[in-house]
Amino acid sequence: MWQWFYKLGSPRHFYDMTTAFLPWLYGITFFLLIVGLVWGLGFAPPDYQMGDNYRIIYIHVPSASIAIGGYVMMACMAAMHMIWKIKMADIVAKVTAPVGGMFCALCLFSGSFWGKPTWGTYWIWDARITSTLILLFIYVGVAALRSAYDSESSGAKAASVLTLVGVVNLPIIRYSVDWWNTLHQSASNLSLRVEGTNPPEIWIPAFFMGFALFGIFLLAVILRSRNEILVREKRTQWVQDLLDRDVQEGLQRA
Amino acid sequence: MKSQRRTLNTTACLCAGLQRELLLALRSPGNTINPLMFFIIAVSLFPLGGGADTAYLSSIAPGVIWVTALLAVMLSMESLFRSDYEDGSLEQLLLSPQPLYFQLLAKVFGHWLVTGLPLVLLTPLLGLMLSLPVAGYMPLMLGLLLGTPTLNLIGAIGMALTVGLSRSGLLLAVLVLPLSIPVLVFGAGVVDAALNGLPVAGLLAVLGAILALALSLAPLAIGAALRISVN
Amino acid sequence: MPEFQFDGMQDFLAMGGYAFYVWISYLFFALVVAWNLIQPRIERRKLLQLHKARMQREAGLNKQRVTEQS
Repeated sequence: MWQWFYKLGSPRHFYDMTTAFLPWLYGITFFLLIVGLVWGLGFAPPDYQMGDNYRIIYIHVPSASIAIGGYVMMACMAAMHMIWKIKMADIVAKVTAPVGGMFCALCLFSGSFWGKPTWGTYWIWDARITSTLILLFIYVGVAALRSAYDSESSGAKAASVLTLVGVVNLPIIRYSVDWWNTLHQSASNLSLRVEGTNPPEIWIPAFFMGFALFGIFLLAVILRSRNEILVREKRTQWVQDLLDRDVQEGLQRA
Repeated sequence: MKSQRRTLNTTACLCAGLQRELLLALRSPGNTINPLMFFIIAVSLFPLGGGADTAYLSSIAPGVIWVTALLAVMLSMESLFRSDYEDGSLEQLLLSPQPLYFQLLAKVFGHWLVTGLPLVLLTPLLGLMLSLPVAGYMPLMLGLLLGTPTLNLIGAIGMALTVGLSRSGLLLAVLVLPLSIPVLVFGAGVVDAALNGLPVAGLLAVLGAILALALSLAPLAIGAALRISVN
Repeated sequence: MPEFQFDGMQDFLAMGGYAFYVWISYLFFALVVAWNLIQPRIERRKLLQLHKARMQREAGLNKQRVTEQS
């Protein structure tokens, strides 16, 4: 078990393992995605209050949890990179920033198109929305800091420090925004909860979509990591051999 | 040889660092005055841009003063590490046998004394210009007194991360402003609460708690970041 | 077993009057998914093309060397 885990720390083993693992991940993800989409969009009954508009939750809620979970994952990778100097951890941390940021933007975007018919406005300064927006800012900051460095290793360390500072700060930001929101309860007290009261016909497709989006997140991170490995390890023999083989076979697939 | 080396104890080390900061500030007063000028000018833009109606101004005064103070602190951070980085004394600091943690603390505290504290002392004037109600002055100043050191510490992390880059001003803002949001929220909240006749002690305590957390953790992050930048 | 909630395609696309909001959200979702899965492929293709060019260059050099020696 641990052996397997340690091996993932080596770029070469990561690459080989994901080569075997990727087709399965593709299959499972697209199966879940198609079932979730068809069920969620067509077969789940309309909500008694929001009608068919609630169908946006099937992408909104999973993307929110991926945005947060992705940051936590990035912080773990940053810590592993800082403490044990694991190269692979930094590769994953690097590619997680844009992917997580994109899911964060998806969450905000779908949320605002959900809010317009339900709350009557695209944007309110609700506590959850505001802290998601700040999370997006932090994602952008981490990616911007890394790309500002010319040296890959300095950029990696700097981004790790910032990621860890961010993870200490995020709960405080969350708390402050909650407090601020209760103080300024001016616009509306329209917080909307989908969990709990809904029948299983509504939340089972959400389950499917949740895992499907998680699969897409994993796929994106793995595919980008593999490219990053090829770039960073391009001087090693195994990458050269691999590229030689792929070019000769005319393989264009990932 | 080791026994002959003169080692300073922590207090002396703190004092020496502080003394150096203050002396440097005295020799280049621009670093102190420019953030203050920015603070005053930026605040006076709000009536020009948003209208000089007294009621309107007093309603936005706490937020405007806090946001502008935050920006002024960010702009003042440039002088904290930049010249030290360029003349190599930052490297000396990292190599010196004294604990880095306390040296950095002294450095940031010294920087706060010459940029943050004048900012706090200047706020009554700006409150006057934005017709802040009388009840707001004390909470505003107390809040800034507790908040600006935290902003300095957070800004120092950002500055330490970007000091090695040639153009870091905008990047610094992108990194640091989201992290400063709690201070802004509670700082402006203190004034709001006071104007609405609510107790402010609890909120000041929260600001103090954030400061304590920043004091204990930020120097570690600053140190790690400086090691990366100096390399 | 859940059943289809809409009367035909037209009704499905109308989404009970929320067509604009639902479909634009799903469109953005589709874009995010597509970008996340396609961008790495484009990147990989570029890497392979670079490597191919290098291989050809090296092959050309080797050939030259062989002809010079003979």
